[in-house]
Amino acid sequence: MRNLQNQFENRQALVNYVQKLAPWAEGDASEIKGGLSQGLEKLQAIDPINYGNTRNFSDGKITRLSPYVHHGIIDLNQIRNEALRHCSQPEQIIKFVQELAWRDFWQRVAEHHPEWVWKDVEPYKTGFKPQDYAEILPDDITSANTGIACIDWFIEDLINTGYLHNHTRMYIASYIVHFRRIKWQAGAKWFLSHLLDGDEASNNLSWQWVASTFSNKPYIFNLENVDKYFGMQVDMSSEHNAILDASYQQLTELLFPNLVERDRHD
Amino acid sequence: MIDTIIWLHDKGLSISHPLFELPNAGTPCFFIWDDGYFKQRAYSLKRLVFIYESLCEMPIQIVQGNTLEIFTEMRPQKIITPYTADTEINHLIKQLAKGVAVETIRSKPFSMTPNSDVKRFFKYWSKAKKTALLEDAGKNL
Repeated sequence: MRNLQNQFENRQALVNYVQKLAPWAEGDASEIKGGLSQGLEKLQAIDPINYGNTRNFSDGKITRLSPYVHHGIIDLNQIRNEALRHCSQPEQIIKFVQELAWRDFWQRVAEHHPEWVWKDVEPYKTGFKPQDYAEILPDDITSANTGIACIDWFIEDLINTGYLHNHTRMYIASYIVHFRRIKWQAGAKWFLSHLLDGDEASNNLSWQWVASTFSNKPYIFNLENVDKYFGMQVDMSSEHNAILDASYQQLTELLFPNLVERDRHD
Repeated sequence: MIDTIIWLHDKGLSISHPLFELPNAGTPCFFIWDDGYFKQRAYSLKRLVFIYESLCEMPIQIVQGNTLEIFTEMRPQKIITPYTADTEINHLIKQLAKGVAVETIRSKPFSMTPNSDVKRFFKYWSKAKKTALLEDAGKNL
């Protein structure tokens, strides 16, 4: 047992020290800093009333508190209490509190069913069986080289910062599971190694929600949807995002041919 | 032999956690930098730096080693640690509990909803919202 250092001249010295402790760890440090002081700064900056209408957009009033919540630095009770100070009626912050509730919900599910964290809760509702999905993530995905401009941009963001907007998590998950037909477990594991808020319960059960093994139908998206929420930030040209430039009907036929065939026979 | 130890794992990095209200002042508090644990989880450097930065803001001792071996060496009578739903940490806790009493303490509740089995969010939310929109989940009601 060896006592470790807890004071450093600057952040780079701390990063160097951690690198020496874990020479096997991949990548660089994120620009997002850990610690209670950083978490409290973000807590002071929340805008829970405007969160409701803007949260789906890349520049929406999201809190970025999830890494601090995941590590227990700040708890949901503190955030809710702070949010209540911003409103005259609790109804004004209902969407904000509901998003906090998702985390509480995922933890409860995992507590009662720890086996669901890594195993399919239900069958896929995609017309495919689990064995139809690949086990391993290909290199083009982990290196942000899929050739789909918006997906590559989101993956680079994940690798560089360790943080993703909730929508972009769903886009990447949907792309991996449904467009590439890879098991959600492979994607979930990869997310957990990068996301600063990577939490087995929230992360894996959300992947299952996208995959349809913990929901009634698979989640898919198209270019129009990405454009609506992230168009200002990302290359949205049809040329560089060809496979996504389709209607939901076209994508359903492309991605879930067995379902479409089954519907024809019903 | 040490009487009681507070063990903070990487899902409970707070000295405001309710578990600090339990033991006597001066109870030793550790975070164990367990290389095998982090390696098994394949944490990227980003994640490790975030955790380390958080630890450096806390008045606790950071020690390096294997979690099970360290506690076997220390031989405390009791370990108090934050509750988590995390399966890896809970596996470690089960291993520890074979040789020492381990008490897990929950953080302050977000809602007063009974901790029953739930599967769909909106069924849970219809009950949770009654207290989730109240300060301290309506603890003083």
